[in-house]
Amino acid sequence: MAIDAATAARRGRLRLPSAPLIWLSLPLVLLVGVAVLAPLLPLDGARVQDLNAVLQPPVWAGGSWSHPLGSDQLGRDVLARLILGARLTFAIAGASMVAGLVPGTLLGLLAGYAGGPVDRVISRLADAQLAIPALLLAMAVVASRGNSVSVLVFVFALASWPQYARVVRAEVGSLRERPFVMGLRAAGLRERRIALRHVLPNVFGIVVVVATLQTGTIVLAESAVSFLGFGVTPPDISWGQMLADGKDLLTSAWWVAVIPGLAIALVVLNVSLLGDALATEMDPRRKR
Amino acid sequence: MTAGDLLLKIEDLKVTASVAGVDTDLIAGVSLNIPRARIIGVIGESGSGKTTLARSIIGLLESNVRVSGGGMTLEGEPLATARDFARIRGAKVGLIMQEAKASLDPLIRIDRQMREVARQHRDRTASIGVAGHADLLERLGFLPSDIQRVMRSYPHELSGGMAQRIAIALALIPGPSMLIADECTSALDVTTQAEVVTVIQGLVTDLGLSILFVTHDLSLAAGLCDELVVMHRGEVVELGATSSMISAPEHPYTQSLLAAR
Amino acid sequence: MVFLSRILQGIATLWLSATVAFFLVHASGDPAVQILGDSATPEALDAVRANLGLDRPLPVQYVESVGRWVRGDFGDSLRFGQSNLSMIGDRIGATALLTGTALFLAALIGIPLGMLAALHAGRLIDRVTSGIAVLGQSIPVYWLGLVMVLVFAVRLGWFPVGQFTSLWSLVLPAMALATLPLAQIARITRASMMTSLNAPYVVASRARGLSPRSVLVNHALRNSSLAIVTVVGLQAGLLLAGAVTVEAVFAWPGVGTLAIQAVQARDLPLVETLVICGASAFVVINSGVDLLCAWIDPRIRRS
Repeated sequence: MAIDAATAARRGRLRLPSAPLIWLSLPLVLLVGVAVLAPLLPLDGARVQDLNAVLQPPVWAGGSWSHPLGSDQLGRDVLARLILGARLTFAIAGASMVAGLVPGTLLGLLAGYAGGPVDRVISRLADAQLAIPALLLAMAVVASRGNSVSVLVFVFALASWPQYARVVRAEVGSLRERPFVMGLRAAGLRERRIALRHVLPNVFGIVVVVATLQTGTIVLAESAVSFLGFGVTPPDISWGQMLADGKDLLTSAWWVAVIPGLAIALVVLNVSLLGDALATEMDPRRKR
Repeated sequence: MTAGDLLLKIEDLKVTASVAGVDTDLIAGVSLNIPRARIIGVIGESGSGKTTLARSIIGLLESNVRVSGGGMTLEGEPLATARDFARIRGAKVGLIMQEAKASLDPLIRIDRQMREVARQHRDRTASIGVAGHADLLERLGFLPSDIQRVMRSYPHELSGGMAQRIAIALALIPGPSMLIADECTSALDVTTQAEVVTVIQGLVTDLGLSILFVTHDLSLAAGLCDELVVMHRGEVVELGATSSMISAPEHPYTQSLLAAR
Repeated sequence: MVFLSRILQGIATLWLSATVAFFLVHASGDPAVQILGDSATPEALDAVRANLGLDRPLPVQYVESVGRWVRGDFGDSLRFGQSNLSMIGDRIGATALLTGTALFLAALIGIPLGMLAALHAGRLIDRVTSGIAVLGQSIPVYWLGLVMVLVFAVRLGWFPVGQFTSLWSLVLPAMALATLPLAQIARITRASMMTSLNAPYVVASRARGLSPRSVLVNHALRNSSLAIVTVVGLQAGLLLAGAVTVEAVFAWPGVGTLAIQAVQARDLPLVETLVICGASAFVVINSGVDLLCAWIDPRIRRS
C-alpha cells in the first residue's frame, strides 16, 4: 500500500549511507590506536613524580601547556596517565567482551537449537547469573581471590555471557523453523553441522550489536570496581583507578577526578551510539 | 437519486504523502457520491489509493499524509477540520479493519470495550431495535447460549470471524449512518467471509446503513455491492451500477480486472 | 497456575544464584590466605580454615551451607562478629530509602518523558529525550555523584557535604542514582508507546470516536504498561549495584557501604550473605513484575 511504500522509502534512506557507522567508529579506532602505540609515545610524565608541579590546573583553567590536562597531587601528567590508563581500560573491556561472547553465543546457540531440557537448564542458569549484578559478583570474587586484571576479566565475562545467550537463543529459536534449515535437514546434514555452519553465521550480526553495547557496560563496570578500590590498583593505571585517586581532591583540584570520568562517559557514549547505529544497520525495523 | 438520499459527497479529493520532503499524490482528484442505504464497492489493487480514501473519510491519515485539495460533506456538513472529523468518528461513520482481532484491545474484555464505546457516545443501540449489547450480538449472528461467554472473553479467545462481528458491534453502538469496511473479510476463510458478508447485507436492508466496501476482491464486491468504483493509481477509472459494469466494462483496467477473475 | 509456577521458578533461580555465589567465594582461591595475608603462618591458616569449615571437601561445605540457608542461618561476620543478617537488616532501611527514592524519581520523570517523545516522534522533544537516554546510560553514576557534590554542595553550597543529616541530604544521591534507570525507562516507554500508538486497536479506538485521552490512557498506555513495568522492575534490581558506588561517594550508611567494608576486610561470610541477599531482592522484584504482567495481560495468564 502507499503508506507502506512511503515507510519503506523512509527506511531505505536511513539505510543507504553507512556514514554514521564510519563517523562513530572513527574516534574509537583513533583512541584504540593511540592506546596501542602508547609505549612509543613520550609518556614518562604518567609515572614520574614532579613535586615542583603538583596539582597544576588544565591549560584552559590557568595551567600551562607542559600539562595540558593538568597534573595530579604527585605532579604526574593527567593527559599521559589518561593515555596509559586507556590501554588497561580497553584491554580489560576487549578481553572480557571476547571471554563473555564466545561461551555466551555457543550456549545461546545450544539452547535455541536443541530446545527442551537443555534450553531450560541454560535459560535458568542465565537467569540466575543475571540476578547477581556484575559489581556484586566482582566484589565477591575479589574478596576471596584478591584483585588482579585476570580476575576482572573473568568476572566481567561471567556477568556478560547471559546477555549473548539470551539474544542468540531467541534468534536461533526462530531461525530453526526457517525453510532453509528444514531443507538442510532434509538433505541429510548432521545437526551439529547445520547449527555451526549455517545457523551460527546468521546470528553474527546481532552478536556484534550485543558485543558493542556490552563493551560499554564493561568499561563502566571496570571503572566502578576500580573506583571502589577492588579493581585496577596502583601502580597500574586505568580510568576508574584515576578517578578513585582523584576523588579526595575534588574540592581542591577537580580535574584529577573529573577528566577521567569525562573520558569514560564520552567513550561509553560513543560505543552506545555505535551499537545503536549497528542495530539500525542490521535491521531497519529496530530503529523505532 | 434525489439530493435527500445523498449521505457522503466527495469532490475532487486530493491526498498527498510527503516522504523526505518529496510530495507524492496518493489520491489525485476523486469525486464520489454515496447515497443512503447502499453498498458501494471500492475495488483496486494495493497502491490504488483505496485504503487512503477510506482513511481520509474518517480523518485518520498517517502523520506524513494530508488532504491537499478538494473536499467532503457528510449529510451536508463539511468534513475538513480535525473538529469535524472528531464529531463524526464513530458517531456517524464507523470503520471496520482487516485485522479483526488486532483491532480489539487485547487487554480488555469484550463487554468492557462495548461499554466504553457506549459511554463515549450516546448509546444508540436502542435506535437500531435491540434491547442491549447482548441483543446486539444476537442480531449479529452469535448463538444466544454463547453470548455471555463471548462478552466475558478477551480478544485472543475469539475466532477471526467472531472478532470481526464484535468489531461491527462496536461500530454499531453509537448508531452511525455509514460503515467503512476496509478489506474486512480478506483475512477470513471463505465460510466465515460469507457469514460476515451476510451480517453486512443485513445492516443495509434492516438498519438503512450505507457501506463503503473496500476490497481487492472483484468477485466478492460484484456479489454484494449496488455500485462499484474502480480505483487505479489514485484515480477513479470507472464507476457505475454493478450489473452494468460487470456486463459491459468500459475502462481497459476494469476489463483486465474482470478478465483476471 | 501462573502464581505457583512463578514462585517455584523464582526459588530455583535463587538457589542457582546462591550456588554461583558459594562456588565463587569458596572455589576460586584460598580464602584463608585472603583473610590473613601472604605472610600468615601455616598454623594460623589451618586455624582459620578449621574455624570456617574450609578444611572439609567442597561438596560437604556446599550441602551444609544450603542446609543453613534454608533454615535462615547465614552465619556471623568475621570482622564485626555479629549475625550477618541482622547487620544487613540494620542497614537495609537506608538503602531502601535511597533506591526507592531514585526509582520513584526515575519513573516519575522517565515515563512521561518517554510518552511525550513517542507522541511527538521526530520532533525536538523526541530528540532531546533520546539524547538524555543515551547520555544517561553512558555516565558513570558515581562520577555524576562526585560532580554533583562539587557543583551543588561545594561550589553552590545548597546541600550539606558528606554526612547523612536530614532528608535534604537524600536529594543528591537519589538524583545521581536515578539517571541510569531514568534513561532506560524513558527509552523503553518511548519504544513501547510508539508500537502501541501505531497498533490497529489504537487506530480502531480512534475510529470508534473514543476521546484522545481515553485512547491514550485506556489503550495505548495500558498496552505499553507491560514493557514499562518490566523495565522498572529490572532497573529496581540493578539499582542495588548502583547503590554501592553512590553510597560510597555520599558516605550513605546503607548496605552498599557495608559491602565495601566487607570486601576490604575479606569478610567472606558477610560477602556471601550480601550477594545472596542482592540476588534474592532481584529475584523477588522480578517475580513480582512477572505476576503483575500476568495480571495486566490475559494472554500471559493463560500460557
